[in-house]
Amino acid sequence: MFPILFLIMAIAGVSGIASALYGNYNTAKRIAIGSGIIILALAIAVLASAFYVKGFVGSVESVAYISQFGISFSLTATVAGIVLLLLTAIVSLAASITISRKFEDERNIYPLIMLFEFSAIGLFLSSNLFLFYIFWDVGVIASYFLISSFGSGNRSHAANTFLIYSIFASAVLLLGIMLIYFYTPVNSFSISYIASHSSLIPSSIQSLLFLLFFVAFMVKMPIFPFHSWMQNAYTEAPTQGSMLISGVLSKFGAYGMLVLFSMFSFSSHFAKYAFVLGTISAFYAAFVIMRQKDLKSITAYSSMLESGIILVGISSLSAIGTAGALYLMLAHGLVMALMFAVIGGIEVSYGTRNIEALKGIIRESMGSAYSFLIGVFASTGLPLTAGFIADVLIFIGAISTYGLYGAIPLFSILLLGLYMYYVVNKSFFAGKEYSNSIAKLPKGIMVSSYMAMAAIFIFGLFPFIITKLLGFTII
Amino acid sequence: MPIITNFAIPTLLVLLIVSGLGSVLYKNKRLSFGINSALFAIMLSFGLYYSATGASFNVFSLYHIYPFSSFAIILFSVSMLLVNFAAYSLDKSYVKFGMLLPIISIGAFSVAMASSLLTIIISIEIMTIPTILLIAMCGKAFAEPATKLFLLSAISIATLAFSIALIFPYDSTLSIAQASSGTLGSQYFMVLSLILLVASLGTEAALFPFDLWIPDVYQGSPNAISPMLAGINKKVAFIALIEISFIVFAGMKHDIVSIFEVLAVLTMFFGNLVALVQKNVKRMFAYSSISQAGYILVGLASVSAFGLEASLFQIFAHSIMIIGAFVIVGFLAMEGLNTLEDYKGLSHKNRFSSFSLAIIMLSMAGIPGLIGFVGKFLLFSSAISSGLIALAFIGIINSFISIYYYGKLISNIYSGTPHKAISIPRSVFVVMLAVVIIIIALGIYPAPLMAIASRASVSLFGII
Repeated sequence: MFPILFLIMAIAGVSGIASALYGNYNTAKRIAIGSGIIILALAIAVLASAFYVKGFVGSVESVAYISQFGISFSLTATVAGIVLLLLTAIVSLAASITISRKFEDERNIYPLIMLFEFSAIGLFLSSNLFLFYIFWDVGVIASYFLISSFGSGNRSHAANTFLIYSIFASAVLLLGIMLIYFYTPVNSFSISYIASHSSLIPSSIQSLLFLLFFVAFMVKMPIFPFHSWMQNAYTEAPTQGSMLISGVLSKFGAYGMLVLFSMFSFSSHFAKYAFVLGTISAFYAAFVIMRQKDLKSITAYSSMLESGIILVGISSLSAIGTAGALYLMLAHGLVMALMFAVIGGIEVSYGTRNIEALKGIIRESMGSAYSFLIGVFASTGLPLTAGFIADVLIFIGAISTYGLYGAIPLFSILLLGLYMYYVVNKSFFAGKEYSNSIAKLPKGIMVSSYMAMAAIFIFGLFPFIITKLLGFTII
Repeated sequence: MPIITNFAIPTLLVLLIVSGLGSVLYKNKRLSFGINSALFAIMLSFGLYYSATGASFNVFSLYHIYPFSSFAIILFSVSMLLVNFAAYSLDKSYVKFGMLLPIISIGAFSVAMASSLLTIIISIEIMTIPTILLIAMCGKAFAEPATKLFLLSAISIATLAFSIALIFPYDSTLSIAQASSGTLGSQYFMVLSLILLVASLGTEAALFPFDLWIPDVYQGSPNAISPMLAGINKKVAFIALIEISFIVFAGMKHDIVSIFEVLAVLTMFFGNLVALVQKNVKRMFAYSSISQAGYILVGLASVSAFGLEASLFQIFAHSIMIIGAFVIVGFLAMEGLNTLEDYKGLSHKNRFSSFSLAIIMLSMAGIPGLIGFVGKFLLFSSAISSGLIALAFIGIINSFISIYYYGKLISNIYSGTPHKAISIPRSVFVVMLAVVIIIIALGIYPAPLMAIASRASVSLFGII
């Protein structure tokens, strides 16, 4: 079979290096956007082959890497991998389109975006935990430099907090991965091998293993006790950084959770705790959000809320709930890309993100108001948007596992909707009586928000990914 | 072929002496630099050849060459090459280096190939005395580090001799391979001898309670010499420690595990925690090199072929990284940059040295894709495979701590306002380029070095 996954990785890597080497701003931009479009096209091709080519899902492309430990550089197209590959391709392309020449040192942001895209694609497609860890850390470093080099005002504090939390997560994850290598019957890092032999892992080590992985992924999602890096990182990062970190990097953790719960058969013992944590996290975010005045903070906490809902879906352990969680990852990544792009545009036009200061944006900039509104629709799960499909699936799964308790997290989404519509009304619709001036969004931001919006509606109107792929195992 | 292999090594050692003498007689900086580099390169090719063929033979019943010593030859010749290049432009008159570097290298190579305990003691002396001379010859300002190094190495060599003398009456042989003291079990004098051994070589290898001189000497030494101290002298002590403790004390596995385990934990924490509060960059790297010695001990504490392989890998990796780091830091110190504050805005002054320093520090911190990550991954997995899960966890916590001070320096380098540019001498540039290439290449594809290290560790355990 044609090694299309290797091809995607190679394009991302080579174009990243090329955009780093060519000093010229315009060349770097062309390389980034061109390769972004190619990768998106290839990602769609991968999706199409998953539908129409028999045996494509789950096929492995592999070359020997460190043979002494049986580590190979192997990529596999799982359902979750394909869906998140698509998300990564869309969000990275959208992020590289939003860049305008307003930064002082703007050229260097393209290689970082490409590096991040490379690591994200590698992580979602990797078929063994060793590669998973390597790409995980590369993604963290790329995001760290995105925040620390291109962020706003308080960026070094935000970047350092982010780094400390992330490295803690990496350390815990690394320990878990090394432990599992020595406790599988034939020492192996392969996810599918571990999944099929997880019942043979000695029970004394099971809870420790689960805890190590769970904490690492919790930090990245983020879930309640480990979320305090999030607000600073999301608000201080540049627009592109916020899009990538909330849209894709938080999916590292969510994807990890998905892998964790489908890899270890014993994780079913811990599912109810995960459910409770997800619920607490969602409600915590829903209440904290009501005190936020900064549009970016509001979006950040809405992202944390959605992460809680994703965890609820995964912890339902039913096929339908897990599929819903996967779909919510896709939907939520797109929503975050859309909302942070629009907020970036608003910041450029109005010089502030404070909802107290912003009034009647719709009178001057209709595009940004409606884009933001559509983002709010999708994150509150309004029908026709991708978020609706995801929420329906998740709560069907949760209710079927936990009974009526499964419906409790739904109220956090209602709370989110309550405040979001208040914000939309206050800053976007009400306020100014009449205005002649027109504040247009920068062209790049407009294009990328249209892209994200189109994707939100396509996946909302035609939930074909889920219906076609429900027959396969997710990991 | 046997004639070549038998005579190649002695001939090379003689040539090294000749080259050292020649550089005094002719005082031609370029020529002696070229000859020294060529000799180290030939030594490297012999090391690679022996390692690839798995050669195992005796040379005049003085040296024993087997894959473990081939690994050490490769390690020392690569580091010697880098140090030689660095000394060429970091020091005004290369002549004293031209004379003493070959002698020091003879000491290092002899430790690598030693077949008797006496050879090890003598070789360590052959290496240490020229090092002290080299520091002292750089001027009056360097009398303090030279004296410190002299006192410490004298004490350490006396302790080593005492340690060997303690067991000599019982096995009546000085040959490493035949020293049968392993059969004596853990009697009190054996334990005492082991402790003395660890104390004496631990002094030079920077293990915790014996490492207090390290920061002073590394920081105080001339810029051209600190890379050698950290990259070669320290690693020689490690190689000797591995050879003696694993072969001669093979019967005392449990004692070795507990001693190394405790020392590893203490050394890692000491190095990392003290490095956190340093203001001077050179001193910070000195403490970070102490913590790296702790990581190396993690692999030794598991006393297995896998653990030894991991330690050897990390010894090589750290030797390369610390030489690169000290060369860049030394070069910048000559430009007047000493403290963490001075490093603000370095990326505007010199892009390449900032980039290399950042890569080296990310590698030391254990970021994937770089050689330091592979080393740490092997070390911690070897600890887990021997059941030392707590030790692995402490190691991981420590590499988490180290991110903080490396990250602080990196963010200093990449912040600040534009400054006047600094240009780097060509041979320093060569060292930086070589170090960065090795770090990235072996980080992405570590299999060749792992194979060499694995052969070395298996052959060492085969001797017992």
